[in-house]
Amino acid sequence: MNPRIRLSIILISAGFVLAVLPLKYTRSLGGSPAKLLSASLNDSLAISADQLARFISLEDKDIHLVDLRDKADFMITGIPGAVNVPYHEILEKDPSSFLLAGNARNIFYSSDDLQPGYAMIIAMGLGYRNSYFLRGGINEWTRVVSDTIYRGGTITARENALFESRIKAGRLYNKLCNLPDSLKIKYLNAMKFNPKKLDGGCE
Amino acid sequence: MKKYLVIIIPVLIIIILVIAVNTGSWHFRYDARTRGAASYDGSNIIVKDKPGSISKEALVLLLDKMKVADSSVNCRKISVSPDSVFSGNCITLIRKNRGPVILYSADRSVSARVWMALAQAGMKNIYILTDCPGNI
Repeated sequence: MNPRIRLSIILISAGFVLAVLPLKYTRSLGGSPAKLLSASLNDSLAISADQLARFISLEDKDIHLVDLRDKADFMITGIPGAVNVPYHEILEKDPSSFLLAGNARNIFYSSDDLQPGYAMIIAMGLGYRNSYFLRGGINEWTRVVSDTIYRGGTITARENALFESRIKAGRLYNKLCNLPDSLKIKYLNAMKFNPKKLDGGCE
Repeated sequence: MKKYLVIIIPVLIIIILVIAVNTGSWHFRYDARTRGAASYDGSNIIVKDKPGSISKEALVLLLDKMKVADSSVNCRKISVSPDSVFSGNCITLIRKNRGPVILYSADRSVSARVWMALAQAGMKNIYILTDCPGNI
């Protein structure tokens, strides 16, 4: 074969590879945008404050809360058991360092629903289809759970169950919020998600 | 000419691939962080009652049954179900629109999810219309 043609084929093959692959390692979402969006719009992926209160009061180990606010806000009013990953860092870190795979539920929350909405698409696109968000964010949590009080009168069994889980979760939440910063930092460090600890077995 | 076919055909294939990769909405683009950059500082948010915030060339996509009836939104509006945003007609409208494409839903999380999916699929000039700035 003519050397020029051979060289041209090599250059074209290199161009073929460069045209398809990214030049540098960057995180990109996978799958079909239409299917991903459709999956993310499932109503069951929105967790209400009452549902979350129930999970916390039952100490459900399958939930994993991710607080998308800045560290300062998280230190003041973080929900017990949450890890803090400010939203602008969500694509800078390795997702396996703050998200759980499998049967666990990764629940995003912020002050309202915008950032959790963004984060859900990102997480699902990175392969974490077990992503949820707290509807109404920390504001709704505070209104429903933290500030809940018994106003007297007769309530149904269901309302009583809701009230009990709100009270229990609210107590944990208020206890954490009222801790001095030094103790809060110790508690949060102890709660930090460590993927190695999930391997199980004896070392 | 025939001896150059072995070069011309692969070049044509590469050109077609590059065009398809960069213009199709059937897949996500590279570098998710760059695609979603506007969501970090809230530059993708438009507040409804802010004067002059919506140009006449804008296309508003109403993502739920609620209609934006007030006069502050004086531009073309179409209703579309959130999970139909990537359908052929809607995507064509989004691409061809001269001005910004603005997403509106009473549920901000729906607007957020649609925005991020569109942005990651390579759509530009997409914004979220909100009633109040809130915590962006």
